[in-house]
Amino acid sequence: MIRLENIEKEFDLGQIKIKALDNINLTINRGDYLAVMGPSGSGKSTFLNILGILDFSTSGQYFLEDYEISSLPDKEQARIRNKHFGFVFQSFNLFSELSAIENVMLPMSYAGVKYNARKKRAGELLDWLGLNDRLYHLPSMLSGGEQQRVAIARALSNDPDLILADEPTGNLPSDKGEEILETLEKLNSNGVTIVMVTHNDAQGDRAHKRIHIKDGKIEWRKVCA
Amino acid sequence: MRIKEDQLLMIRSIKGRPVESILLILGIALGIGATVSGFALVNQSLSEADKLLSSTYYHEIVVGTRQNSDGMDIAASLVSDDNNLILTVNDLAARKEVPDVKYAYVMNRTHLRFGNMRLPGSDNNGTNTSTQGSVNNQNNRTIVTGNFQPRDATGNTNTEAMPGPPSDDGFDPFHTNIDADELTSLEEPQVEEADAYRVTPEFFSAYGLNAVSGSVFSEQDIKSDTPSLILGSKLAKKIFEDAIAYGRKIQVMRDLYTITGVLAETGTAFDNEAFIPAVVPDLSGNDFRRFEAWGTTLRFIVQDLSRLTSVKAQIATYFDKEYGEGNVDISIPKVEAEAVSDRNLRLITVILILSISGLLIAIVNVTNILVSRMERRRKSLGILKALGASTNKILISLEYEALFIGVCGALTGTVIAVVLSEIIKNSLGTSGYNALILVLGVFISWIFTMVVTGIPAFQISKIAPSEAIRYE
Repeated sequence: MIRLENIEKEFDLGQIKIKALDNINLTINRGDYLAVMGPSGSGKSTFLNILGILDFSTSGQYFLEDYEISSLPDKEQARIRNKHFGFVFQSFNLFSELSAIENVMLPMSYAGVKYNARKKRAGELLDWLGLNDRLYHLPSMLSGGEQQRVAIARALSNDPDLILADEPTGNLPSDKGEEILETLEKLNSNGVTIVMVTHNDAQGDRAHKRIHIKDGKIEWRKVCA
Repeated sequence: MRIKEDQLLMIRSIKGRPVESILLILGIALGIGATVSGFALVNQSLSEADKLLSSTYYHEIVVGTRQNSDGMDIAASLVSDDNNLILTVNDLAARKEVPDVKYAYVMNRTHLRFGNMRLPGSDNNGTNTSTQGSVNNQNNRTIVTGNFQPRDATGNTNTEAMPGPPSDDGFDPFHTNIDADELTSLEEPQVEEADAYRVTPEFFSAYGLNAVSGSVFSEQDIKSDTPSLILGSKLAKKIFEDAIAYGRKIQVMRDLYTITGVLAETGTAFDNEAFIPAVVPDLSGNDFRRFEAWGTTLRFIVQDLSRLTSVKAQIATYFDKEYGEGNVDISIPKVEAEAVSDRNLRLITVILILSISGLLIAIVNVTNILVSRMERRRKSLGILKALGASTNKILISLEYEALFIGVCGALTGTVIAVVLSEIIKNSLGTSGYNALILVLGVFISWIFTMVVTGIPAFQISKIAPSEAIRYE
């Protein structure tokens, strides 16, 4: 599904340059559950941003279904993010001005889904995630766990092939974090590819594949049975 | 059509910061209002100046006696009668030596008091029952005393008829030449007094005034002793309710005037004015009309404005020869008006620069506020990009907000501009609606909106989503 070849990412800070990623080679197959681990500042989030086409590598190639995507125009990259990827952030990143259902409906409006269809789909997703009584609540009226579930519903709204989760439990208490992990695992068992950044070994151990990044390089990789 | 969620996001974002949004709208509105009304002021002033300077009045060269212009500081009793130069209609002959003069005329402002001076309470036999005046019938000639109520030391009206002594030259201000029967048959005019001009025939040609009934004055009217009067259209309607004025007679002071013409409506002040002939007095005798000629100014119309100065010199040569050097004062109203107009233009230019400065300050401030407002939303924009918004969609989304503020400001600004221009129009006394203001208002508003909203929106929309999301 995704093939990264010799990906490098350098940040130019004026007089000094920082290499955030160095010679990353990785293949992600459809249905994978990949945990990206490593200490703070190791380059995990940069790796996830490049994987989600939120950022570009300085060198190397990124193939999505054999298409080299860095050369695609902005509009096409936006379409890929919208239709094929779903993002779950550590700090939820919901829009405080929109209700739960409107937050979930938003990516579908970019995909051109009609109002009634996107409202129905958003309602179903929130219901599936146990938030059917929270549809019209603003994020500020929801708990952290509920907000993250709304964010997951939003990530699922366009039925993506890949969920990119950046420390999705980082801001949650352990019981709520567990609920989120279970939800992601449930999605993976339904065929959705999951890439999750975490520095929690226990959470990483639950993924089928693990990579450990240190100083921008993949230090080790592991495939679990 | 339902509002999409990204548009909803922007609308709620505006509502979430009402004070800031209102300040932004006001900033734009005042900037546009000041600039458009500044342009309106320039436009109104220039067009008004052009209109004024191209009017008949500014084609004139005005010739008056030196006393007219300078003598105001000298007590009349100190000026010897022999030294007083009186210009008369005959002096219009100067035109014969100046071929560039198209029209030459006299146009002396005066004031007419209408009405037969019988006062309420006097009967047809002239028996006075009023305390305000009397009519004495003497040999079928009428002595009228009226409107002149001498009061005694206590302030009470003297009820004795006071004919007033005739002066040495036989002039009696209370004497009327009107036959008593004719006087009593006159109807009371509806208007007591009116501004008027003593004019010569070419005055009507110069100002393009035509009679709608009767005729304008001819040379014979000037030479004739029969008092005749021409009325402006509105004045005729005011004096005679049935609007039929031509041929009627009306008392003006002590004479009975025949209305020999009514002018067609012009839409100018002339419609409310009356015109009587500027007669040629006998300056050598005791003709009381010499007083009427006192202060006569002669006016010479020059069609080609570029010839004004040279024509003035030619006219000066004529009058120097006739009355001695420097005894007449010759002026060109256009030159004086142009000096005033130039001064006004400089002032208006300063006002315009201040107005444009106001717009520029508004642009800078509004752009800064919008940029900081968008910067605060940097993270949201990054999330929108992560969720599938392209740079164009972000730009459009930002434009919804910025355009809303820009258009509200532009519309408010145009309203402010129209109101200010109306004030300017009324202050300058100009008339007519100026479509240029609106066109200019819309054009400037559009440019303003595009500049103010477009630049920050374009800059922020290019942000990389990873950079925005990292931004906390």
